[in-house]
Amino acid sequence: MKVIIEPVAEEQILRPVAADAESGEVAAGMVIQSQCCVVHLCGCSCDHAGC
Amino acid sequence: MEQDGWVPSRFNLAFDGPANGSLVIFNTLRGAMVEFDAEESVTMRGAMDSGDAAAIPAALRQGLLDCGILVPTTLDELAIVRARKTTGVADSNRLDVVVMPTIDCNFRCVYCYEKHAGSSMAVPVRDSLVAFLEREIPKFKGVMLHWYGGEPLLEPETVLVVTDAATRVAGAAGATLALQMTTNGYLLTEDVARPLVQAGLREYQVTIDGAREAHDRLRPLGGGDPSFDVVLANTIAVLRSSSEVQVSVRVNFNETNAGDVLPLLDQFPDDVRDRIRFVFEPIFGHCSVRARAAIEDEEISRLLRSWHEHAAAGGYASSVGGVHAGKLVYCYAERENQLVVSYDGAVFKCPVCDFTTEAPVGRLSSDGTIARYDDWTLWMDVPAFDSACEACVFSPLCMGGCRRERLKTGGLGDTCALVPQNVSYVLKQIALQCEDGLIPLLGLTAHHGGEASI
Repeated sequence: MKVIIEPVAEEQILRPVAADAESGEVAAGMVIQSQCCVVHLCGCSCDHAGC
Repeated sequence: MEQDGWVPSRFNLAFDGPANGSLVIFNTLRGAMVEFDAEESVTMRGAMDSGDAAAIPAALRQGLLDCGILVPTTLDELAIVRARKTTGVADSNRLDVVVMPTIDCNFRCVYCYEKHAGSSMAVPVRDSLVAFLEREIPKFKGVMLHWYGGEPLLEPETVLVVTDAATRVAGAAGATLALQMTTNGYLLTEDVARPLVQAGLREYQVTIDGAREAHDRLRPLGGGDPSFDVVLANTIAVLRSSSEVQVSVRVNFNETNAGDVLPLLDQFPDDVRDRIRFVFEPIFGHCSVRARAAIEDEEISRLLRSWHEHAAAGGYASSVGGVHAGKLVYCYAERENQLVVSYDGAVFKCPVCDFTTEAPVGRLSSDGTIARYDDWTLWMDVPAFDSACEACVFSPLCMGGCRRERLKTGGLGDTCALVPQNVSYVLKQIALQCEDGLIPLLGLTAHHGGEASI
């Protein structure tokens, strides 16, 4: 058994929401939340408005 | 018996590994990927098929539990996914504001779903928008202000005035402000771009639908004249105006221009390519030119992969994206603290509509508050997941599909079809590259030891 990718802890997933304002982690969280696209295969989020 | 306490996760995706007889399992809830040799694979396939973990040796068990591939029988995995969505929808850290200073446009793209009525954001509405931003931005840690339309650069003064106000308020409040614009690029001349870039607008999305002939056929000016040469020149110029500028080049395609996409990749000079990311979008919706009317899903997926690989090889920032565990919502329009403000102060949730027949969900008041209508409640009350999503192994990656589609049609629409093919492709690429000891690959970042995403 070979772990290729480590699991992500639940608290890590929710960290962008729970992060402290002073730490700057929310800005990083915004990036995390915008790189989740499984439709376009490009890492975008379908979040972009626009035709 | 102790073994009775665990079962295979409902969110395991299994596929043949790169080595002979090996098996790879990816858990969509936790984002872990594990490869099993041929002997272990027999055991794991048996457990997956039967849903019974009793035959899994103790030596493997703890590792599988750590990766979420095996879970306690008492664990409600669906509850975790639902909780993520609830958290994401209610996220009070981030405000997303999409502003449409006009719904008019100087283009007449053949597939556009908007009606481009003459329209302009009047000064009182603009002042109300500034008042809204002054009230709201200090409440949030992160704010995204996205310019959209119509063509927002038909109203450059509004863009500058509101952007400057948002920057001032965010700076005073210590909020992180992300500024973006979706433009057709025709009016993004050096004179227009300079003050925008200086104001902090450095992320643009410009659509170019392939090489010149294809683009000009799909995206002509209102009078029918071509637009390709000007859009390309403006895009290159804005990228060269500042090393901080980044452009997403969106390429909408159907069967009529799919063959013209790769030649577009030759059009950009080397010095700007690393700040261009391509977004290839099958023309969607219910119009006659939609991609799925003439191209099979499997072929769309193959085209996407091929184009992204060519873009990456050509030095663009584009790459085949990763598969990211931990998404909280399907798209930003699901979130409570998100809204689309139209030129007349009407408020919407989703920007994909024609803005004339669509009923707004609220209205911007002169004091900067938002009067929410019943349609806002209807939008937010759409169930977090469709019943089909709750049975779908991909739901932690997708988070439930398009809320607008589910509200309007009661169904999930057709984007679901691409998800399994695309995810499978990316996962197999990861497994293959990891076999060669090559992480990251194709722009993927493989974080170990508790980082946020794969």
